[in-house]
Amino acid sequence: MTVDGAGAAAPPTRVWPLVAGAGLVALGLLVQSPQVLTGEPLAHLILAATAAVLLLQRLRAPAGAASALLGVALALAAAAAAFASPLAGALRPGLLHAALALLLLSAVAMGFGARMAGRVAVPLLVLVVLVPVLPLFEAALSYPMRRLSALLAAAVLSLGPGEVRLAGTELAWGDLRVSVTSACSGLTLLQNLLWVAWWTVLMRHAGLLRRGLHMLLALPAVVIANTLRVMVLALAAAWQGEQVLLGTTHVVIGWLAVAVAVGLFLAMEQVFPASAGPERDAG
Amino acid sequence: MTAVGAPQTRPWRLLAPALVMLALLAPNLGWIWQAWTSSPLDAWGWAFLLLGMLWWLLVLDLVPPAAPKRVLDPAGWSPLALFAVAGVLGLVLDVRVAQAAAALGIGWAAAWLLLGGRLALLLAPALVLGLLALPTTGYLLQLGWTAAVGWLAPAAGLAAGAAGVMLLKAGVALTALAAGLLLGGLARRGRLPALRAATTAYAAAAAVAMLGLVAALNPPGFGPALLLAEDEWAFGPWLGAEIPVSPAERRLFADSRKLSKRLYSTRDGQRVSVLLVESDDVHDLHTPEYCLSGSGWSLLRDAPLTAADGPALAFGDAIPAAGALTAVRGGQRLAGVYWFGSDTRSTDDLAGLRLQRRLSDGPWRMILVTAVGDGDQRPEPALRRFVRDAPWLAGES
Repeated sequence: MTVDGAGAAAPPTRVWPLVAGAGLVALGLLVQSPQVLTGEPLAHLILAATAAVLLLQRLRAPAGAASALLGVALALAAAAAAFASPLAGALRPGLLHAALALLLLSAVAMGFGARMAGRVAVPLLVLVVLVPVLPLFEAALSYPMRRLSALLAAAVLSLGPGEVRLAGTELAWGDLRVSVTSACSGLTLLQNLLWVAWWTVLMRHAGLLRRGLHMLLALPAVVIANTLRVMVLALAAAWQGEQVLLGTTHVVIGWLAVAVAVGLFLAMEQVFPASAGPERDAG
Repeated sequence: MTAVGAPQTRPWRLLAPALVMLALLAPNLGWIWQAWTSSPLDAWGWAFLLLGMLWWLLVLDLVPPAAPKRVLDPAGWSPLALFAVAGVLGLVLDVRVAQAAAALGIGWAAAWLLLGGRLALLLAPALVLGLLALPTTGYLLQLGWTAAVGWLAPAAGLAAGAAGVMLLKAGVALTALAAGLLLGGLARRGRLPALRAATTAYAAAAAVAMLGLVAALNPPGFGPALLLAEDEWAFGPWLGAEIPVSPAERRLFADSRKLSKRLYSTRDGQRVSVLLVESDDVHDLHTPEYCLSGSGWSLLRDAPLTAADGPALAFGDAIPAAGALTAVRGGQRLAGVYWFGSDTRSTDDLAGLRLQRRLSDGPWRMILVTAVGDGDQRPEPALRRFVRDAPWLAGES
């Protein structure tokens, strides 16, 4: 996937990035425990895994004086956000998340330089800014995606035996009724895929436009994966009963859908070949 | 660390940090001494201070500082600023432990500035030992430990959270000394790097940010005020009696306007102890964990009363923002509920109350209700029964 290694001499093997990466993944597993940070645990896990990827990538530019300044400034901004949060009323959760994000960014700036902090800033801001406000756009974002997934699933299922009827986002297949609810809209899937997509385009392309265009392929990947999820759930419910729509099977199929979406996005790389040369830093 | 024949530092540079530390600590020496002599939890504070002073002298004796290349080490400004901010906050918010910690920290930062970063790192264990000598730090350490254990291993919290304050202090002190020896070894081999100003600036900024995050994640909660009708000694199955306050308790609450310790019992053998403290100075209140730890109890739980506790602890209409305690000592088990407050509000968070107190508030009160069980007899039923039957009075709203 990466273009950095092509034609270049093999980098010397270092143990510490592996250890640090494993530590960060462990940290991700810890922070997704409900006692530590409730809400968006998967996003936090992926944040940690992303940081691990960061470390496992060999970083070319050492942190300079400007990076240290940026790190200190970000840490001070984090302190300001943290101390202001109790006084911020309804903005308290946002400021609290911002403080955490700025502190993480400051650590990246100190450890790996300002450029790397810039790279991490986007996924972090997605986590901190976009994810908390997603419920505000529930009607605008969720319903179209639910409807699209339900429509596509109904179309595919209608190729098989039995009549398939679709009313809004509810599929009726024989006696079985499956509602594509907000939780099944694929938004969470999209949110999680964004991280993988970000790192993919970062390593494959130079320039915002090409990266942005490649990022857009995340949408069809999510729609396809979510449609497959709806279909598999409908089939599983028809075979095993409606209890599978609520239990572990539902969760497992959700995780598989994430994997499928990632796989689809990576497979779509063929559509969008790498534009960054082997010697070019993907920064 | 110093090359043979290298110019030695001037004596005033060696003396100045200690003098700065002592001068800044002077306003709080009386409070520290009083705590050492009156609070069981802080009784051995002087030993940690002595150990810290010995370490400081040992380092200066064994690792004589070389004459610095510059008048002041620029990397020392950040820790100085950090502790100065802590001191100003301590003064503004009237938090004595913050003032005292800042005094020690500023002295250490002065050593950094005058003697260099490498030596300051070697002196850091002395700073840690000095902090352990301050009143309240042991209690804070235990709170942190209990929270960390409950956070990381809720299932194991019951056993692991029971570490005593002295054990925790000793553990921290030994770790600091071990780290000091390690740093000393590195220094002898010339492998102790000098910290850059940027690194220390970042460390200071990150420390402030983390402090802010901790504060923001633990906001104090306030509830309605609730008082015990003090002149009703008999209610329901309960009969109460005033019991003598021990000399140690009297010393601890010396300036309180009111100090009442009562024992309520029922015919069927249930017993509950109630401690009422009232003072015009919020500093006179102490968290019950503070006293309990000093009396040998190990805390298993110290958490705000939650909705899950509601059905068990039926206060009635006005439910205070109280804290629930569970502690063990040998074969004994203690269950308790406590809150602080004024005529208008209640809270389980004394630090939050002190930080967010208003001039109009006061007098300040503490109510602690505890029941103790031996062996198979659990204390919770007695506590629940007392809370249900007691004549509670709602405060002003």
